[in-house]
Amino acid sequence: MTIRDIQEGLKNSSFSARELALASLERIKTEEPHVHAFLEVTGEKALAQAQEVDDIISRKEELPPLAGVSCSLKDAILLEGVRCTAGSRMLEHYVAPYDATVVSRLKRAGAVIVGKTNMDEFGMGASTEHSAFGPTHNPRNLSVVPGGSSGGSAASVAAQECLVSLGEDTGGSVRLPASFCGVVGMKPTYGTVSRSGIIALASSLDQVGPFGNSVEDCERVFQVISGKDNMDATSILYEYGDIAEPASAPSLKIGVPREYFAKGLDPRVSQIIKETLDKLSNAGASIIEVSLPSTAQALAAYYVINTSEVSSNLARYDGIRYGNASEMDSSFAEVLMANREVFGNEVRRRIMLGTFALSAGYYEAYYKTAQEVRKLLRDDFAKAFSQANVLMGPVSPFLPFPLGEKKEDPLSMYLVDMYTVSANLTGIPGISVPVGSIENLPVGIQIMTPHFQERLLFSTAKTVEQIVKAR
Amino acid sequence: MITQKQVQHVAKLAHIHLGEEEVDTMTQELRSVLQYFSILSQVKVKHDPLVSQGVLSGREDVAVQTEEGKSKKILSASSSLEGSVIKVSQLFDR
Repeated sequence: MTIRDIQEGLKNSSFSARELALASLERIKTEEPHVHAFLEVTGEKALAQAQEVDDIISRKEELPPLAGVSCSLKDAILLEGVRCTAGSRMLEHYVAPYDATVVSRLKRAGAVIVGKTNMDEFGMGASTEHSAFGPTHNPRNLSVVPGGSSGGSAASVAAQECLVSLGEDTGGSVRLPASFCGVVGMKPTYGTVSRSGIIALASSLDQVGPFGNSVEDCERVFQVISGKDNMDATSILYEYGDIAEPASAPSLKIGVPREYFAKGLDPRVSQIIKETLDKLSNAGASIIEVSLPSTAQALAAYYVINTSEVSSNLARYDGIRYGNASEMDSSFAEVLMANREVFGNEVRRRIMLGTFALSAGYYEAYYKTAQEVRKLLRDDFAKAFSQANVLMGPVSPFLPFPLGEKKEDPLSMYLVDMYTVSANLTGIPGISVPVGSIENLPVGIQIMTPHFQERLLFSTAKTVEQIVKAR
Repeated sequence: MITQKQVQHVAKLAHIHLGEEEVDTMTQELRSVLQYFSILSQVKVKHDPLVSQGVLSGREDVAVQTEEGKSKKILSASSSLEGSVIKVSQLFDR
């Protein structure tokens, strides 16, 4: 079922919003013991929201755009009155005092929020194994990771526990789990979706993005959540407009970055991406090789900026304003240290790295240089987009990997994000569309466009979707 | 190469507690990541370092009436509440 099908079905009284909500909650019950996508299921709230939709229908009023659509939220997105943990013991008992702006927009659009999903602690990770509450399993293959950090969100859609989900993407955290779980996931242009009410990881990189089973479902959610918000100073005046038509293949000039097909890319991933590009070429699209020379430095720059902003954003977790106070009779510094002991290993590492990168004597070599790379990368993309109108390539060098394989090796985990971080560093939008699988291990293709060209992004993604479905 | 002493200093700055064994592990882990970061040494800083992602916009600085009980909800996240004030330990020695 798609969002369009739901709109039709509700209008024709084929089913009620309540029935849809109950089906979702039932499915969650059967899938959760295997998948563990959810940290919190909001059954009562969901049924109440569904009732509101059914009331609208019985009053014969116009159906809002996401009426009756079941939706989960990454647990870094505030839902009023519900626990919001960011996957961390630091916020184990924290209850959200307000809705994130994206949540109030979803509610106004009639969406039915079924729960909060699992994530790597504070968004730090590419597998959801760094959650303080246990990992999520990939619904396509339970022994492998769903990707991260929005693994629970991707899994909840892949397991059909809900139709759509909101995740959050800082270095690939929506696109990667979308690729690993075989669903669609998108990161918008920085500034087009409000960050108000999103637990911050790296403020110059974070963006909320939707997951769905189809490109159009993602697009419909993006349409609802995007737009200026006065509560977010980085929010931009932006309006998406109508649902886009698929692009005609001959209109596409697809740039393929040579650096994304270099050593380190799993040949099985490469094969599936190349097959997809061949299909597009056969349909009339032109494929040209482009170069993004700063790609090698991009990952290092990303982790410098990410960890630096993390060390600053997580300074607020002192155990005093938020939960977990220990004995107050020690010195202030000792109290803080004791309270922050609840952070997991990856969080501690990144806070350390960031503090170091910003410290006196190292700020120039690390943080300033990383920001310079950002500028170089923007120039790279500008040049590439002068030669092609969209860019395509793999989402990650790796296939979805077994649980436990990379968990103890931080650097190995960082390399998973190789192709996704550039979009966050430059602010351009990107989407992952499922294009195939190997031994039940899904593979997505990543599409990127210049800033604010979500319309082109979605229409191109629809073309890819159609071409892949046609056999 | 980052030394154990530097790691201990950074931990203090970051308010992260590291036990004796942990200092060693953390030093190894940071070293391997910083080794990877050394690829940045090829880059020369030419531009103004702060690349803005966009224009920051503010809103009017106006006090708005919020719903009853909202401030209580926000304060209730703290486990160190006394009335409507959050208690902290003494910051400075007398």
